[in-house]
Amino acid sequence: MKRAWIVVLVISLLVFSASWVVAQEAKPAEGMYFRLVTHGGDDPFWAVVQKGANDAAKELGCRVDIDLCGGDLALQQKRFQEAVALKPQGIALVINDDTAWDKPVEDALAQGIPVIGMNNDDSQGAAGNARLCYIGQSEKAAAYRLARKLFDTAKAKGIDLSKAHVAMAAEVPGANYAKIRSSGVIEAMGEYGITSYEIIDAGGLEMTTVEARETSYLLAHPETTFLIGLGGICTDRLTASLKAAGRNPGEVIAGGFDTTPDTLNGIREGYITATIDQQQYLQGYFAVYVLYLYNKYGFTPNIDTGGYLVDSPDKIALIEKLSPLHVR
Amino acid sequence: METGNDFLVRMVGIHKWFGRVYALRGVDFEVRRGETVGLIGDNGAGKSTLIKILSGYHQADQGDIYFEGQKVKIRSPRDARNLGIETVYQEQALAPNLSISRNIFMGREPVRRLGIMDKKVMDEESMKALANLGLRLRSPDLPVVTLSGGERQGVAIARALHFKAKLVILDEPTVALSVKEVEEVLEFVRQLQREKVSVVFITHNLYHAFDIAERFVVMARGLKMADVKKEDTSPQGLSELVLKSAFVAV
Amino acid sequence: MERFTKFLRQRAASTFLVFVGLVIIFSLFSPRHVFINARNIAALGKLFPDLGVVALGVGMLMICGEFDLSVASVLPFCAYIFARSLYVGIAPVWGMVLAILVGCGLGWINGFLTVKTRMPSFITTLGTLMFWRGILYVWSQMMPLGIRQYIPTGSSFEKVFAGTIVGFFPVQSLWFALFAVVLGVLLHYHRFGNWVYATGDNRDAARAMGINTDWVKTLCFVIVGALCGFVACMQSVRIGSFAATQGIGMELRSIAACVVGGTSLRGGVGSMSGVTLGALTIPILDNGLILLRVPVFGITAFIGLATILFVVLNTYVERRFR
Repeated sequence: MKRAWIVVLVISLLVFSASWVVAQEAKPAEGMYFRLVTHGGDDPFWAVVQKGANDAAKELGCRVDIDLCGGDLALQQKRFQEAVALKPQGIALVINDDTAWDKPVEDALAQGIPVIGMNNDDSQGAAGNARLCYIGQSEKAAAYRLARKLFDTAKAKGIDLSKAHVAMAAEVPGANYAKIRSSGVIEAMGEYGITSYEIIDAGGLEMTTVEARETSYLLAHPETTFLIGLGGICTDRLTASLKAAGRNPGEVIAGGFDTTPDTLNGIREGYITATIDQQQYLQGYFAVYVLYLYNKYGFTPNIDTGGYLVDSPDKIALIEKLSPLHVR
Repeated sequence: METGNDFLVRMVGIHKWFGRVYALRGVDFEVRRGETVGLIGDNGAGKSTLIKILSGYHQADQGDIYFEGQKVKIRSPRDARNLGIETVYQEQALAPNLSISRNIFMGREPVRRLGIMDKKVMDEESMKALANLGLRLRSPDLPVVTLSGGERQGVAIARALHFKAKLVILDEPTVALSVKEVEEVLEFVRQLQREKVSVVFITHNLYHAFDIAERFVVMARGLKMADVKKEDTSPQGLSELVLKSAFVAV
Repeated sequence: MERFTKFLRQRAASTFLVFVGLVIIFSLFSPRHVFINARNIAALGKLFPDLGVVALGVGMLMICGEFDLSVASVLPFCAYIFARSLYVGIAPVWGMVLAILVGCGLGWINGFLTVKTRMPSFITTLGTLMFWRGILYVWSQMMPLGIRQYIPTGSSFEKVFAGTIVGFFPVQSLWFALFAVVLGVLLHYHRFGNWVYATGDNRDAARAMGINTDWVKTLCFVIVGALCGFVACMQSVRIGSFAATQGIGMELRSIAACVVGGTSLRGGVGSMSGVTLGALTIPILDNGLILLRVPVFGITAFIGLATILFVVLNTYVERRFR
């Protein structure tokens, strides 16, 4: 009888250790190294991209590094060359220039390093650059979607759109993001018959300057029907500026990008109609997954990480829940 | 034989190194009460270094200083000033954009409660100090930069006088001044002499020195080369002494 | 006439005249005189103190002969400390005290580095500018932190630092006025102020007269740090969160405000009233131009040009009427 118990014990131990060993099986992308070469910098947007990339890397068991070049194209090119020299299993590159990246990407691909585009793409897409595929939001499409939402809201209120004036505030008016997003708005304007618009130089990234400029503009231009923040900081300051200029919620139809606390508050209080959550977490996340899957199976999908329109209390609640986790 | 009490200041056996440079090689230097001594010598002789030790700007590596018969340690400009030694540097005495009264009381501002300056006292005392020197200026609020070179030296000297200096050291006070301004400065020094203040007058200009001083100390390459009374020499004689000292091999 | 030329000899005199001129022009020519509309004045009064209070400290520091470029990093750093302290459950008042103390500490470090290494403060504070921003980015992950849940709109803390009195006048201006007066008295009437001027005008003379110039400079740095800490909280309460981009550009704009207000880059010259003028003139110019419906694209370039003109004008007039 005692012998039977020992046999059972030994077999159980064996079974347990076997399953434990099986459970410790290597993660799918063990040993792989990917690099994200971006033009991003000091703002919450890229922190979330990074989180997405890091989370994907943890799930897959690979290593990933992200370069934040702060808008400096020359630096970014240098980093790209350095990344290529490291011979990673793949590079995700922010293609923020139509010509500067054509040759470097070609060369990297010739060396056998997969390169995909992320966040920003050549304006001619695959025709303009040799990157394998592109993952990101079409900024123009997101802006277009936002503008349409705002214009629809105005139409529902019975506002005469032919006399409407659209004001777009940009932290750095000459930058790519401002140009692309404003072009999306202008395209939407065309469909609604709106012709009058102005792009406001909000004076940089500093909150107080942005607020001062937006307030002054509103006081100077009472004919403003729509106020759109082309960047996260401009959007954040919309509510305060509208209040300071004495506008009631809804008097000026406002919207913008990103989901900072004050922007979400503005939606709650009715000053802001909608904002775009760029879901940039997915850009980092999918960049890693796509590179891994390319290595494994050769897939090259184009993924539109989409612009999620935040315009209602339950959507706000969702964002606020996830924001501290640096996910949205 | 003169006893120690006739001397206001006695520096004995002063040695000073700046790194490898042996700036003062055992110098003795004395000044009697109410005496004006001209300290002369070529560049690099050590004149400035010697008096900077006396004003507390530098510390001697070896040697002693006696003030009014007592051995003293002068570790900072404040120590020197507490003893009654005031220095008037050529360019460094005054802050050009500050007013006359703020300059005179720099670091020693009379205060009312909580450290607020007593401007009334400052203005009155400044004008008085200037008047004592025979310097007539319009207002104590004038920025010092608007004054002529001679007037600026006057302000610096008036400052020294006001704070009851017993010894006033003037480091090249007549450099870059016009003839008229030089005469002004020499007149200020004569006023100091009338007040029985001891004066050490450093200069390159032997004629200025001869005009004002009673005794001359010639230095070269860190050593005292000669110590002559005015009546025993002439400007020419002094010049020869300085030249000779420069060529003496050490 | 004599009094007028004496007035013009003040370095900030021409800025003052231009300031008055601008106010008159904008008041008359802005559509519906919106420049002097209560809302506009309230907006100005609410926003200029953010830079203004910091500029007061920077001005005093410049007078004693040093620069502080790190204000652009110290400010958000203190703001982050403030926000985090709220999240940990510390009461806002103590959070602000903590932020100000941290600001003092960072200022002290600037002073210590500058004075002990004898390097130009431009360099040392450039280093601390980059260092603290780097630390902040890693620590905060650049994410904004909402603080409205701890300092709700309408709470007494919010009213004291971001509210209004008599219905529309913003308290930020009152805080600015308080600091301007206190620092003005310190600089112009207190003996410490004389030491500050002396240190900046002729450091060797000040030292020869027994002023501890190292200590004077360090204290000025500490004052700048403390003011940064205060503004960090005041601003955070107003915008309702910590934002990693707070303070960007402030290092140069505060110097610009001081220079426009007659502070010399070489030290020894300047005044708190001048700095006040400089801190007001640039925002007023900015605001006025927009109100005149000048196209807002590229307005920043124009402001830069205007700043240069101010400085040239100040120097020219001062020299002419010396």
